[in-house]
Amino acid sequence: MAPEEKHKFDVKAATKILEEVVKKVLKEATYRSDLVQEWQSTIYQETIARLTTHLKGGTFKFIVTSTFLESIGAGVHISSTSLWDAESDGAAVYRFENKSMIVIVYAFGLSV
Amino acid sequence: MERGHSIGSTASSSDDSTSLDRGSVTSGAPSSFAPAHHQHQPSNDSNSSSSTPGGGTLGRNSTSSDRDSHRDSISLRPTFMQKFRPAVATKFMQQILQTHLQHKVYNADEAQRMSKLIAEEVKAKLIELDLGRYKYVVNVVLGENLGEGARMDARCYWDQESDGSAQAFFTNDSLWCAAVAFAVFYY
Repeated sequence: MAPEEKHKFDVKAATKILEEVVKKVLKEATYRSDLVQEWQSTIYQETIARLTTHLKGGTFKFIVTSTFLESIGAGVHISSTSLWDAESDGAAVYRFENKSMIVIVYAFGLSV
Repeated sequence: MERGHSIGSTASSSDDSTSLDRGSVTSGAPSSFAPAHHQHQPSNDSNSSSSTPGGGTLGRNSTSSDRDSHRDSISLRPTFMQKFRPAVATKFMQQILQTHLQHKVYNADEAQRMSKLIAEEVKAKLIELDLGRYKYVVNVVLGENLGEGARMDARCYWDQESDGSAQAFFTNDSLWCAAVAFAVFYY
């Protein structure tokens, strides 16, 4: 049973939401361990609020994860794997980088 | 998830009255790693950029016929036996990290293969639990241990009663690895 178009997780729109939110929150920020939690909280709140309003037609559960890394030349790799209905569910990822940090934000949308 | 801290998770729901509420899964506190390592200036940035995830590796499994058959009926709650239990998952995730990474040295080329391997293995174990109506997302972050600050966490918009997450963390002198698994019940 193929889901209708509106019940599909819109990866493009979600990526755009992530990009806008992350850029807005971080702008020219420099890595500070005491501020990271605050940034993450703001990012989650805005992203989930926008995802739920944007994808009103579908019934989704969302998972938003973010990784903040201080950029001192250390390597990092992220892998993600999932078991889900590929026709309705999806993942959006956005990577933000500036001189002091690397930020990777994932948004997963899973239809219920 | 914070290096140097034990991994504890507090899953809390902000609103108990709604069935689909926001639960936040947060662990750890801001990094307190010594800045003594700062002489490790990014001598060649290629190291970090070549191994940063680009687009992450996403393996997608489409539903098997077995899972499709669930679509015909509706279930509002997992049964007692079929509920996802974070403690069980945390245990085998910790084990997987241990066996794969103990005494390993960070290597940018191998990191990609290794993180994917770990993610796939965790997923295979989750499927083995045979919980039926769950969808899984497994996220593995494998980084080089140069004393850099890092923070990883997640927030979920889901049903606090049926869905859950489990995480494991491993670190040695050369690398650190965090694995998080989310289990999402579908009705």
